[in-house]
Amino acid sequence: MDRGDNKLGGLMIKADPKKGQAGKYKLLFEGKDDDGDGKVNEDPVGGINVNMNGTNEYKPYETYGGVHPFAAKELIALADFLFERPNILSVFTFNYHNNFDKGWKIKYKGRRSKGNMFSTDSAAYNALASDLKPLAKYPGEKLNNGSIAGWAFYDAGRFSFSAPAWTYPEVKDSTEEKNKKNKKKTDDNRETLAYKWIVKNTPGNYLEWKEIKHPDFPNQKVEVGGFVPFAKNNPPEDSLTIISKNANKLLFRLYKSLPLLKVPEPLVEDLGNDVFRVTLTIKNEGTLPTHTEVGRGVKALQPVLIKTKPAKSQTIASGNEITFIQDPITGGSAVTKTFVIVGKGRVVFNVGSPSAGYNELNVQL
Amino acid sequence: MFKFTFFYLLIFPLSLFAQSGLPSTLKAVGAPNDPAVEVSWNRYHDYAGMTDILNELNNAYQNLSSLESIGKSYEGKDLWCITITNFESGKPEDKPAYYIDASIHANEAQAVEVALYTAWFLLETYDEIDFTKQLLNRVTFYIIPMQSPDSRDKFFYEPNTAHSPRSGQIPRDDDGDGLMDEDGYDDLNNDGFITQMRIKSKYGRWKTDPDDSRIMVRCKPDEIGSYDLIWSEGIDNDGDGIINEDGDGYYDPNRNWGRLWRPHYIQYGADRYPFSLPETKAIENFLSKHPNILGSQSYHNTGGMILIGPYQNEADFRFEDDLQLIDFIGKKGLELLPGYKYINSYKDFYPTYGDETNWHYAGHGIMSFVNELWTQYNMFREDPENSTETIYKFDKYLLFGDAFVDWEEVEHPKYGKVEVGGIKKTFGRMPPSFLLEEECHRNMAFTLMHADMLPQLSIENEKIDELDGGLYKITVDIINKRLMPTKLSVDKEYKITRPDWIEISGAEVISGGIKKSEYDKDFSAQEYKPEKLMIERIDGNSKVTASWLVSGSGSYTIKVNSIKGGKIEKVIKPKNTN
Repeated sequence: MDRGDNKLGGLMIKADPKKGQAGKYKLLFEGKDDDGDGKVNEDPVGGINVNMNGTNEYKPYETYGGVHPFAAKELIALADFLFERPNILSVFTFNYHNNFDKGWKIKYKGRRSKGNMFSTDSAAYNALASDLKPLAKYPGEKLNNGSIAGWAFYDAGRFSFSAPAWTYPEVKDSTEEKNKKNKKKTDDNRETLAYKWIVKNTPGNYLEWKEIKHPDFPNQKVEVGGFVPFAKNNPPEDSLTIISKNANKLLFRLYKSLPLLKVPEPLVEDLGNDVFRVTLTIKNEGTLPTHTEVGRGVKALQPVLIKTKPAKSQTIASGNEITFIQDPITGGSAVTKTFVIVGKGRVVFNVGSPSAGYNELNVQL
Repeated sequence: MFKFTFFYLLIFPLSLFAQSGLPSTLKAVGAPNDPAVEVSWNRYHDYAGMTDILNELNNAYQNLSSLESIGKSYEGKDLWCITITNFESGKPEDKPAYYIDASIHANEAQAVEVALYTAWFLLETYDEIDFTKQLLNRVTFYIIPMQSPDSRDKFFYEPNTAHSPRSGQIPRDDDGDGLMDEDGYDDLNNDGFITQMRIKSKYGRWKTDPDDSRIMVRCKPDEIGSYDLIWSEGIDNDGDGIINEDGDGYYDPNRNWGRLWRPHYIQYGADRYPFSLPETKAIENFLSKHPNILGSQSYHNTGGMILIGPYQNEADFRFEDDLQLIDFIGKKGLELLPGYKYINSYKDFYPTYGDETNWHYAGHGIMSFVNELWTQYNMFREDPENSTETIYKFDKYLLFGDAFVDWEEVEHPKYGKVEVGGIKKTFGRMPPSFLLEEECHRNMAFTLMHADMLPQLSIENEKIDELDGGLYKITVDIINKRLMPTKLSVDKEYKITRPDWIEISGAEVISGGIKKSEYDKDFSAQEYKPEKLMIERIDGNSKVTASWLVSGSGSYTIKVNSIKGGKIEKVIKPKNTN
């Protein structure tokens, strides 16, 4: 670790051996070796970072990762909630990730399938992500191992979007302003952004380094200082209104993108001798597909079903009482299904799925 | 008068034996002759039957066993675990432990009997066979004989094939129509078995075998057939045009564990997330609370295999010395299990994800085996050339037709007149009566061999040398007299359990450490708390030498505290003191 260059004052930055930098400090969280094992703060309260404990790209044997995926009770509760609700098609997570930037890559390949398993999901995802990208105002990091947002798609089968509710905005000083033409994007990380903003606006949130005497390091110089707890990640109070307005816009657009199932009056053809051909057109007038392929893959979502109930006087000559539309009906598209019914009377078609909604049609033949 | 004589003749000799306590049988070697709990090892036990046996054993052998419920199944049945060790020679958790469970797939039914037989044998032969006594004096067994009790009773009392139910009883929507388990099997001839359906047809592609008319064989390409064959007995209960597509939950409890779990589209049956099932969760809680487990066996069927992980080719499963050790033990097992094969799961089979025993290894540092019970080799003591013919021949000459349901005509709502018949659910994957006890015993012998290889630690060769200035140098050897190290490499590498401790008390410790070899004079000093030396592990059939400089003479207590190697202690004194 090194204490930053003059520009960054008291911020601790990691020495990079590739750039020939040698560290001058060891950075530890404030504390003592309470159990006398030679290590400071090695066993604090808690221990699982819920956002590292999901099954997607889970990394075993990591500090804070949990002894196995889904060791965190919070995550279990969340999963049980989602799996009991097949009507949830889309999940949004406020986090430090932003996956509107690049859309989603479908990485998994099944044992028996080659190529892209979920091409429909992928296309719908990326189209919506690029559409909504301007509304996801705050930049974020890519998903980490075991993230909730990654799990919600790959292992819980829902469209999963993630963006920060807020991050510290860039602070432009005069020298940077001058360099703007040469350097379009700053490579500041979250910590540097936070530090620069706090020093300028709320300096009390970053404590100066002060020398203290530490019982475990009697012969070394020990200083205490840095970010006040929570200050690094949380917005100042007066910005909450604009933050929630931004979030509302984004969430409302996501809500408007849900599928909208419409089944207009079917086409009925009289084939003579009380035989009728009924053709249903099932439209999705929304943006997202009626379900995800990955949602079928994990058995979390249901495809659109047509339940056909003929009257007692009728029989179904072609078609079943239950018809599966196995592929998702994508936004703006339609599928048709044909039944041949023998006999006069009223036949009821119930069309839909939990994630697409239901339509019921009474057809008098 | 006649009645009286009969009564007299019948009852008197029995009561005579009962009074003298002598059995009326000659002991056959290798088994208890007069067990406290009589069990017939030539038939299968349901959940209540197993629970009774466990309770009777536990009541009969209170110094050697304890019985606990480690949790409840989905339907609320207790998951029983019997702990077996000599409780007077030390607490169960202070000894290295061997863990056995069975029948995570309920249709793999004889697995329960093998685990139950092991518990019975250990308890009933403690006083009769010295090997058992020595083993239980230093090793703890944890045995969960029935991992899937809900489906066990479904297998027994509801119509099923030999392959069902593999799942538990949590209702799940297999086909995505929003309904749970609405189209399972249908027992058309009400015999408790789901067999096959055949329909007489001029255009069928099946015929009966000319040598045995019970067997259906596929026609040759240029032959005209006489039957259509439909694989499993049933009807389309939900009107979607498909038969039996949504029976008992589709999930597989052996794909629901904590290492390399993959979702259903990659690993069939994974269910929602690791340990989403109450049974796997309860067992995982148990394993977490018993870190002294170092060896394990999970019984499955079928095919006659000693199966080892890794179940995938992942870097963190490849520890050469762990694999060498497991190979050594597994291959020795083949000598005890004729007809069995030694198989590495991902190399010789196919990769699977979220397996239980993978988790034993990667999550708990346990060396684990899966025995796939029952092999057709056992039918005529050779590997059969034609599996179907061998099964029917065995059924005809050794089981006298008892394994087969004769074809019988029934009315089917879709197909009209069909014939129902075929192999019973209790044959094909399970041994027949007269081979069951052998299967129990031989497989148990393999686990006892493995359990006997668990570390046996002792503190020996103590030396107390007086130095100048009231200082003493104390040196002891900690010897492991068995093959298994106190910790596997995977455990060492990923710090699954804490280091082993070698502690001294009774004097002020100035310095202390482990000697690199016994030929070295010096030890490498441990900076922090030298009175509690921490070492990564004690290898199999080897020793470590600990040494301390202390001030103060007298007697010292040396304690070895190893999570998986056991806890022992010894008081040592200078030779001239009493």
